[in-house]
Amino acid sequence: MFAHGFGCDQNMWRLVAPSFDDSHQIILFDHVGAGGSDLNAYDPIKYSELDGYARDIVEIADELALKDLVFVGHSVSAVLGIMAAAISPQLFKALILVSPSPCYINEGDYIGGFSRIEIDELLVSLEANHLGWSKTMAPLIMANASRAELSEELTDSFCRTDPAIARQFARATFLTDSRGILAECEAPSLILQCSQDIIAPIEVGQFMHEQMTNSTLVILEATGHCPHLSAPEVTVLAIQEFLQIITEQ
Amino acid sequence: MIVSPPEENLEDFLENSLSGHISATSKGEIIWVNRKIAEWLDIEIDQLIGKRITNILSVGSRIFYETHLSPMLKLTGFFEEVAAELQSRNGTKMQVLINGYTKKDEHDKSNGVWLNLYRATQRTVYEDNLRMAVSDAEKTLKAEREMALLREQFIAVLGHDLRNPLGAIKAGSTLLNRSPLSDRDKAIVGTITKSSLRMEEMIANVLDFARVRLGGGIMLELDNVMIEPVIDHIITELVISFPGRTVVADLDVPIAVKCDMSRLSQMLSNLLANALSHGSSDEPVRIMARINDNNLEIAVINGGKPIPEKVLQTLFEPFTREANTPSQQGLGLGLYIASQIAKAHGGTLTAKSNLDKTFFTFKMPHFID
Repeated sequence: MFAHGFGCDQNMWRLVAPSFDDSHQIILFDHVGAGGSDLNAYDPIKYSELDGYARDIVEIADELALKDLVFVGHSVSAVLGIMAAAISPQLFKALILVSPSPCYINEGDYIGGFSRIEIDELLVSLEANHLGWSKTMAPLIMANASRAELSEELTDSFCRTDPAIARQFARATFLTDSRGILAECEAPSLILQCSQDIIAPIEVGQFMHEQMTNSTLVILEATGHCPHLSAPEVTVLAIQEFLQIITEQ
Repeated sequence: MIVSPPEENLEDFLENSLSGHISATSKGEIIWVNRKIAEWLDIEIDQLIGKRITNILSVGSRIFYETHLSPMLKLTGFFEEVAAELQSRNGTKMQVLINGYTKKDEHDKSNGVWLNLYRATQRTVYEDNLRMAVSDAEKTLKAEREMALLREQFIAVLGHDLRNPLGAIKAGSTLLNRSPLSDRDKAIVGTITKSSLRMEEMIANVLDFARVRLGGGIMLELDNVMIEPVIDHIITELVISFPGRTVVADLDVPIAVKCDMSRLSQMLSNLLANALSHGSSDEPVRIMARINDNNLEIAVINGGKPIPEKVLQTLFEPFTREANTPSQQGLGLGLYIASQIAKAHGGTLTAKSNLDKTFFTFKMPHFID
């Protein structure tokens, strides 16, 4: 199961998910408020905390009666995977955490990447809608013929995010401190960290690796926050190697 | 014929453009910027080369770039009209709109990113003002709604609480009436009794009003009712309070009508009392009742001065006392409640007034089973 992060939708797995088609059943979904999700399903109280999103993951797994689930979560969804594994540990065979961060705010020795002031500034600019989320920018049609198969879908749903829901999602994402639950996670976990990521710096990956007993840390030579887009080949390779190892065990 | 401008013109055009232009690697490292960008950021051009695009954005835009725009460039190849915030080294911010696209080489591989930036400070002020106006309007509306609710709750509570002391006054005056009294005392007790009855009516009206506004309207207990004796009874009652006045009844409703008898009486009694107190005293008040075309129609007609057009418009709204003699009036709820009773019966209550007559007409559907 692939879970997209904040600001995008399931399309971001396009370059990675097909590589696992032979060996696994692929499940892609959009969080409520993103992509093609049903906006009527949005419940401001349920989704005011990340827990609401984590319960959705468990619900999907239960509904589809999944077993030996390998959960791949990007960014905030990596944390959602850890939360879901705390709710229903038996569901998960392994967690693949792509550019995860349990806490974005620096605190004492912990380096999260942002100061509290910066996060407050982010939330203020979200309130003022300065982040350019707008439905008008959604229907982007690709001029590039070689990827024409994508374009139909993209016209109406690519990375569309409902602005009001995005605001609340950002609040939940950037204000949640999930460091406390890391040590309880027993599922075999792969932490994939980019070498140059301003949102989840390397220190965050190292911190998580120290906290999570059953974890492997791999630093990818990649810039940005989305290695599955900027460096899909190495991302796929790292995941495949990890799955191989835990299967052999 | 394709006309291309001389190359030095193009360079000049880019350099002196009022828009900002940035060329970056596919990893987002700045290779080239035009002068406008450096001017906006208050920095030398060469100090920007090699920096990442996210370095010149404020924190919100930086996160947005990494989580949304960068994926868009990878997957769709471009984005348009995205609002963002530039941030200079000293922290000054500037609103911009950005268009961006991915450059492709001959093998269709991404080999860089072009960004075009347009100043959007005016637009942002405009948007901020719009947003503020919306939020102000929402706040005012919310405050007004809360006030209205509070007011109506207050009325309900007050009406309810006034009943108990009034009950004591009524019981007291009834008891006093049974004792032997001097003529003077009798007159006083009579006034107390009359005033407390009037007050009771006002309280009942206030509670009806609160019921309509706070709850689901006036509830009816429907029965099959013969209307004519009901109207006769109302007339008999009222004529006692208006000695010397005549009411001419013209009733032709030979069948039972499905309605709430006590509510209908309340409404007609109110209409008739109004006609008697406001109509000209030397003409009789007429009341007519008919069944036709599946409708029950009851009209109360009085002579005298017409109701001004302006007053007619708001006649059925709550707390609209008719002018001139406020002390004679109750709370201005009578006609409002009468119209609500009509509405609860699926009917209407209308008023019209001409030079010598004023008509109040109640009309409700009646289906013969």
